Amino acid sequence: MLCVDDDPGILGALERVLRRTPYKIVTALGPKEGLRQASELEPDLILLDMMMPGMSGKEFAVEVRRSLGDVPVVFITGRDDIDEEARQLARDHYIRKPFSNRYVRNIVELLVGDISDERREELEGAVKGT
Amino acid sequence: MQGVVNLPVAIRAARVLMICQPGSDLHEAAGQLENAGHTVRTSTDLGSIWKAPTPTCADLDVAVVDLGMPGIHATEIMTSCDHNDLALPIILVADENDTGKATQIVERPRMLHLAGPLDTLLLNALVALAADMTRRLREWKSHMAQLEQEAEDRAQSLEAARSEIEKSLHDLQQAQSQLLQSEKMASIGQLAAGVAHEINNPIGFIYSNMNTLSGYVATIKEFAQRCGKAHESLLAGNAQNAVELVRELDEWSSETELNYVLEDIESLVAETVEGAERVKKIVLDLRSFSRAEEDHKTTVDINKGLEMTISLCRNELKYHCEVVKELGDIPALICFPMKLNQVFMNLIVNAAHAIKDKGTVTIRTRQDGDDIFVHVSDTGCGISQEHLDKIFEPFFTTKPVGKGTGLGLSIACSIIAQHSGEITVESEVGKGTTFTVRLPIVEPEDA
Repeated sequence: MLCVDDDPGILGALERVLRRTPYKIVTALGPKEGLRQASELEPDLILLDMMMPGMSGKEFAVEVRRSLGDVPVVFITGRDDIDEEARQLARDHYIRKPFSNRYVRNIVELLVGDISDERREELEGAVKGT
Repeated sequence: MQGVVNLPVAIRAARVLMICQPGSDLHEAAGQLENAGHTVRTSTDLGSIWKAPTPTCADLDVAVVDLGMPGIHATEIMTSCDHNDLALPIILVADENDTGKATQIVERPRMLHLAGPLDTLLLNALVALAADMTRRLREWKSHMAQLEQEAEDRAQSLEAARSEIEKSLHDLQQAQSQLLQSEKMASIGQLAAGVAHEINNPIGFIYSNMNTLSGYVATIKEFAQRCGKAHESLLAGNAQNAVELVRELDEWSSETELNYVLEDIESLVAETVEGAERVKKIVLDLRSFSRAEEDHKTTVDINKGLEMTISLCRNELKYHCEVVKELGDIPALICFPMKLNQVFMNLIVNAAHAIKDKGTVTIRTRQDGDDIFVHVSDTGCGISQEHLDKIFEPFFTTKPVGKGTGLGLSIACSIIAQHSGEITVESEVGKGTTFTVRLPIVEPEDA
């Protein structure tokens, strides 16, 4: 799993939140580093800051999908800037700052976890409710 | 010889008061005067001339006094004249016996002396002349009064106009300072969304880290409890149990990755504190920027103000612009620092907005002779010649309604003028724009 953000504080926090999950987490500071890591690691999920200097989250997602295929992305945003394009790219999955740790873990588990239908239903409810 | 009296046409009928004894020559002459067209009243009381309140004198044009009348004294007439502001001419009629009396009085203004045996024709002419004099005097007085009134009216209306102008000047100054403030607030408003984002990031990870930290604290608490239990059983001499507890503790520790927690806790706190510092800085910058009034100048380093302003505008810039700072070695400047920052913010935000896709904003300061120069350049869309002529005009804007007030640059101009400096602009469509602010280090005396 890859986290891309231009703010090291956010990366640090996400790393801690996802530390005790079964997934390996790699962080990248900024879109350039993010693209490099993405092509190297071929991650199963990308957590992606919407606004980064040099390249927006949407541009990043389009770029990454071109080489890696249909990798799921979750946008991290502090604004109400989820437009139709972003909605489609992230399939309605985004993390709003400030975020709760549980919400981040839930959405990650929902997207990449090997989970039962029951658990999936439960997580979908939790993610929608927040 | 008594007959036709040829009075000048301008002389009209006079209203006459005669002080004389019935049966005297003067009393007899009253009839002659009336025949000549005058109105005559007779009285034996000298006081009836001036005892009357002044307004009643208005129905008299001239008084005739028979000095030969018993009980009439020159001094009495004089004192009365001195103490009464009578604009009434008095004709003194005196025969040879009373000439002495008359000469004393005639010195006084508006006293006429008719000496010798009574000549009715002469009296008639004198009465007419005196009455004409009274009329002229009264006309002159009322004209004067009218002039005075007019002057007073004019003075009053001038005063009214002056206070009106003063009031509108005051209103104008009030409006101007409100305008200055509201333009500043509008530019802050434009930044607000960006600032919210700037604050949201640190708040985001502070919030998350605090949650993580509370998990760490629970772990550390349990570690302490487990240590405590092992310690107790060791003290109780139950070594075997203590060893068992420590073994459990080790197992628990590796399971919970206690070492990681202990290691990470310091960097977690450090990162969180750094985030809090960021929020603090943004809030402080914003607060000092939005401070309403600066009433006196202070000595500041313009470069510091620029750094602060750039950091406030960071969000407008960082996603699509490369920001190049070339802050030169410049002396401190006596100025209104926040007003200057308002100008810089305006120029920097304009530069950021001029760049549609990707570009560079360069902020440069330098000293040249007695001036400090601040250049804000962008590689944006540029400004057409047609617009260049208008950009410093109030309310000129190319932004859609509600996006810009159109006041930014005109206010910037007036702020820089307050510092005896100037703003100039160079632009090429498609290449970019450079705004240059020149600020004299020492302002001229009269500034």
